[in-house]
This record gives sequence, C-alpha cells and structure tokens, in this order.
Amino acid sequence: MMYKKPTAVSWPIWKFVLLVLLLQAIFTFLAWLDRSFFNNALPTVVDILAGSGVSLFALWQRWVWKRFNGVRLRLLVWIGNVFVSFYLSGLLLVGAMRKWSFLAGEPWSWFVNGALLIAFVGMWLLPLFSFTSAKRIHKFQWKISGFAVGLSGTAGILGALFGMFSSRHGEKGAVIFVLGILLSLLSIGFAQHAGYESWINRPYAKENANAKS
Amino acid sequence: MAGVIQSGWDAFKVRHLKFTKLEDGHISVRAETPPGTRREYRRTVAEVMNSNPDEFFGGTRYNPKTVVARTAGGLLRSSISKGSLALAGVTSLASNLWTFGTNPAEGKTFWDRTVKNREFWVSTAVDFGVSVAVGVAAAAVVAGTIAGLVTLGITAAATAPLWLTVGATAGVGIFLGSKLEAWGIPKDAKTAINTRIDDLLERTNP
Repeated sequence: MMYKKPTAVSWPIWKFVLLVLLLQAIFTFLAWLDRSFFNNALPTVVDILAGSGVSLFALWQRWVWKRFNGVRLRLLVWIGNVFVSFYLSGLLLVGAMRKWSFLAGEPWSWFVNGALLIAFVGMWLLPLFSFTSAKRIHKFQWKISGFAVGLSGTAGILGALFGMFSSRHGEKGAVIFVLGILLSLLSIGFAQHAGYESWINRPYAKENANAKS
Repeated sequence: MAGVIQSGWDAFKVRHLKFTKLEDGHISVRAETPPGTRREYRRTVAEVMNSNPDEFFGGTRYNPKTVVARTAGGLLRSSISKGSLALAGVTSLASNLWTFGTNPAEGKTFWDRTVKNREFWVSTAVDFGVSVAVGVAAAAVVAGTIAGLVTLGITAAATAPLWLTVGATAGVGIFLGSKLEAWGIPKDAKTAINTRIDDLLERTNP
C-alpha cells in the first residue's frame, strides 16, 4: 500500500498547495494550543516549525514520485514515511512530556519522562528485536479498537465537557493529568504501530520473505 | 460523571465488535453476538454510530485504509448522534444544577435558584451548545487531518488502529474545551445573551 501512488501527488499544484497549507495550519494550531495552554511566550515561529513535518513530507512525496521510479522510489517513499511517522509520534511524545514536566516537577519529571522516552524508543525498535512481540502488540491494538468504536461518537464531546468544566471549577491540574495520560498512551501506541508498519513495509521485505520460503 | 456513564454504556453496547489484524495485512471486522441477536445488534450499532452499519460492519475483511477512512467519516456523523447530544445535555444540566443550586446568592430555595432562574437556563443552554460545537470541531479536526494525511500517502496514519483516532478526538476536545473556558467564551456568551434578554424585556415592559 505504501508504494501505491498517493492521490495528492497527481493533483494540480494549486490543489496540492491548498491541502499542504490546510494541514500546516491544523498542526501549527495544535502546537500553538499546547504552548498557550502553559502561557509560555515562545515565538510563533516555533509553532510553525512544529507543524511543518507533514508539509515537508508532502513536498518530499511530490518530488520523489515525479522524479524517481523502481527501487529508488520505493526506498525514498519508505524513508519519507518513516520520517513523518516519527514526527507524528514525536509530537505526541513531546506533548505528553510537557504535561508530566508541569505536573511532576524536577527531579520526578526526569524519571517519568525518561521511562516514557525508553518506552517510545523501545516500541519503535521492537520489531527489530522481537518481531513476534511487535506483531502481538499490534494485534492487541486492533482488538481493543472494537471497544473504542463505541466511544467514537462521544469522544469529542466528552473531552470538551471535561476540559470546560474542569477548568471552570479550577481543576487545571486534572486537565493536564488526563491529557498527560492520554498523550502518553497515544504516543506509545502510535510509535508501536508506526514501528511495526515501517518494519513490514521496508524495501525488499516481501522479496526477502518470499526468498526464504 | 453522567457523561462517563453514557460513554461507557455506548461502548458496552457495541462491545461484540471485533477487529482482527490478519496475516495478509487486512482487517477482519465481525460481530461476535449470541445466536439470534445479530439483527438487533446491528440496529444498536447504527444507533450508537449514527450511521448505516452495512457501511463497514458487513462482516468481512477490509483494507486498513478503508476502515480508518470510514471511521474518520463516522466520527463526524456520530458526534451529533442522539447519544452524544444527550450526554452534552445531561452533563450541562447537572453541572449547572450544582453551580446555581448551591449558590445562595441566586435565590432562597433550590427551586428559585435553578428552575425559576432565567440565568440558569441560559447558562445550561450555552454550555450545551458550546460542548456540542467543540465536540463536533474536535471530530472535524481529527477526521480532516486523517483524510489529508491519507491523501498524501502517509501509511501509518492510513492504517492506525481505531483507538488512536478516538483517543486523539478526545484529546483535541479536552484542549479546545479548556482553552475556550480559559478565554472566557462561554461566560461572555452567557453575559451577552442575558443582557440582550434584559434589553428586550425592558423594551416590551418599560
């Protein structure tokens, strides 16, 4: 699936730029939302940079699909996908780490964030060391998705209600704590998924498997 | 609390839905329901998801990209389902009953402070409206982002397990909800509506 030409690559340039700008705006907005949550006076350029990973990937995709083919194309598309997956999971991880830094304070935040970082890197690299475990965890992620589907309608409203009423009653700590847990789970879960997908889609993986069998 | 119970109940009702990652990379979607209850179960799923269950619970195997794309679309539709509107209504009502009902400055009795108090109803209506709007906005942001990422050919986003999508929606909802509250938007809206009603009443009964 990774090596199928993406729809956006064949689009006219104006349509493609529009999509890239839209995604850039969404990611910059989310980065800004997280920053302003802590009232940090970081310059807006940091938010723009934080939201630029997907835009960079988009330009990369358009460039490689227009310029290369065959083995080189597959390799470059795979590299782009690993980069953007790492970027997306990294954004979630940074968000989680900021929450724990705010809540735990030093030196405890070092322990919590250290453990989180180890788990994150571990999940990315797991398929390299134990493919069976990575496969099992990935299957488990899909298994619990049946339960999550039941929450899909209420997830946004539930989050909004929790965010609104907790802030209103002065429980900002509770909001940050829940966001910390949620972002930690999402970053680890996405890192595991991305690591597994990157491993099974690596160039020559299928050829190697066929050759062995 | 009411919201958590409602969400938990919705998730419990559709618990028979099983997603299994197959060896060939496809996702098998099937409903493991007791014999003779399949039709009723499909109706329940349709109600919870506010969609046609045949759309992706047809009991076959799917490309992960299809499952994720349909769930992203379903997020938006199901965010304005009966269940989610009821959740927003009940929670807003309960929170305002507590806030107004325990505030002696609002009136003598609990009844005066709440049911007979116009500001209580304005506050409840605004909280309901804002929470629904934020919930829909969160679903739109996540669904739109996933659609965009899939269009660009980001494999990991196109094949992500569904709990990640749902979790991201909840996260964006929390972010937006708390930010709106910090900016004082619901409070300003309530003040503006109450002032407007006062003006209208003054004009009609000078």
